[in-house]
Amino acid sequence: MKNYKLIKYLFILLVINTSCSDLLIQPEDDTALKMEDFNAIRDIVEENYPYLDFKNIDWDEVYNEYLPRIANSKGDEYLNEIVSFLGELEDGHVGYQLKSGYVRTYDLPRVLEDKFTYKPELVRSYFDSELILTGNNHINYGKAADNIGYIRIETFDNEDRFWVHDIDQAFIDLKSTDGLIIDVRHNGGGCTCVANYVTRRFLNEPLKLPGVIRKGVFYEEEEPLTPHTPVPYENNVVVLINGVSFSATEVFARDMKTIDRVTLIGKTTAGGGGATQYFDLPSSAQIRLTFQNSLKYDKTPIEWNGITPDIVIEQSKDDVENGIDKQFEYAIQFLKDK
Amino acid sequence: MNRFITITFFLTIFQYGFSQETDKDKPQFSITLSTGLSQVALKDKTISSEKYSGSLTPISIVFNKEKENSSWRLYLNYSSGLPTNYNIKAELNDFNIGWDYSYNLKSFQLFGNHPTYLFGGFSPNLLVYYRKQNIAEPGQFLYAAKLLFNMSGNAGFYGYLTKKVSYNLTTHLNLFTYEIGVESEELDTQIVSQASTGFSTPIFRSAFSLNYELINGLKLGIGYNFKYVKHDELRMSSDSFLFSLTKKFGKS
Repeated sequence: MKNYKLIKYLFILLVINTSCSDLLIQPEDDTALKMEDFNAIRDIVEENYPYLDFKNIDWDEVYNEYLPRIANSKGDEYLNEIVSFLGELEDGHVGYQLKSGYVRTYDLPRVLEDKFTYKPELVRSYFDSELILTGNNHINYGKAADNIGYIRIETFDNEDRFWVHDIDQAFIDLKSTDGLIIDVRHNGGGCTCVANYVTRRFLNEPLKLPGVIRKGVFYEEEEPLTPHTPVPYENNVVVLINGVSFSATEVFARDMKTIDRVTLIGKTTAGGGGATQYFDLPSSAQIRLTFQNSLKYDKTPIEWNGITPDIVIEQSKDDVENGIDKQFEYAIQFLKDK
Repeated sequence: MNRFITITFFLTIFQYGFSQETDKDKPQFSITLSTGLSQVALKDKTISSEKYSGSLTPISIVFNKEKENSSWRLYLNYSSGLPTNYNIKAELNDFNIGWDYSYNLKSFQLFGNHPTYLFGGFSPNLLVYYRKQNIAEPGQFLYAAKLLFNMSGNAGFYGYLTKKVSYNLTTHLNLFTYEIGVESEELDTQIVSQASTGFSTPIFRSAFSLNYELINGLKLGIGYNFKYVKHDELRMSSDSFLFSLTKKFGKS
């Protein structure tokens, strides 16, 4: 009898336990917090985003379109709606930051177009010896055929602000070359402070920067970009750019284009201009938003327009798959003929 | 971190010291393979506060060694599946590897004078939780991952209902945990680590199984496992129904 009682208790324990997983984790109703986040995003964009007029976006209309979608979204469908809402800005810099990761809200058309038209490994196949890797592995350099120097800068990120100083050794090693290629294709940007470090090494005179617009007000850059003396490289230079050259890389291309002995070759850059800032939302999430309109020298925005090359050289995914880097080959020939 | 490693090391040595074989001990080995169906419910606020639930497929392998007054088990459990929240799916992988050392604390007779043993001991174990979630468009994912090194206590009893049917009830409760996790902040992914006790971050597991001896040394079993993990912003609970096959080696 005692044994049957034990079995009975075990059975009851089993039945209770089988529904435990669902009972122990209860859903939370945070609809109000989600709406607070949504409204906060509306206000932050309205107050800070510099391109609403330029992009002809009626932000109130966008908000009203998304209001029922957000209100009716169930559970985490809300995350997708918020990403779509921010995606209406069509800005490669804008993102949604959660504790578990960063979500891009928009891919610029030229980024998508050129995504598979460049492979750094392919460039390496043009060299007889291994390229030298330096600057926290962000810089590759070497000497190509016909005594042409090559430096690839894969990012302008300033996570370790001193890595870019290693480029000075590359200039020393390549000083005797007849021309130099700076390859910033697929460079997704970073800090203009890093980009400026490189640009200054090619300037012969101070460069007055074109200024920025914040909250509708134009601000002159206080200080011009000053040349680094002595100029470490004085021969002709090609900067290779493409549709995945983005953000600070576009500022780099813009400024390099002003120098007479520098020629931009490749395709128009992505069109992501401007400084960004993280804004806190009522929940623990954040949004990353462009708050400053970075201008080109003709006072039009870099945003969407990008920096156009002096010489356009198309390059397709098929070219890359067939082992041909047309842009690199053209740059070598161009410098050789100069 | 160092303190955790030191304590785990000494407890492991301590247990090995007690588990040295003697000629008197005639060890029995068994290997159990099991699979079945799990129901999981979880909330991980590093992604969102929404509840995800659904079924997982668990598989498990256990190596068990029994001696006169003690036993140890090396086990490896893995579950994976796609729990959902409305139309949103998350890919979940849950992995647990551990080692139980148990002493027979008391024996008594139940169910027609069949022997029943009460046991208790320690269990260092590692729990790996990994969630990957597509968001907004194909190819964009959010990730949440945790590595939890636990020192748990185990207790339970096992015995026989009849000559051929045995049962086993085991519970584990963590005493302290050392976590290594991944967090993302402003485009940077960072590795974070922290230590906690079982009071602040309870991890509880219980398992009940019934085994029928088909032929000498080969057992067929059914079982139920329950697991609850509360750690920082993660709450996860699962019920699993398992079918198992156990092969015994060595003499009784």
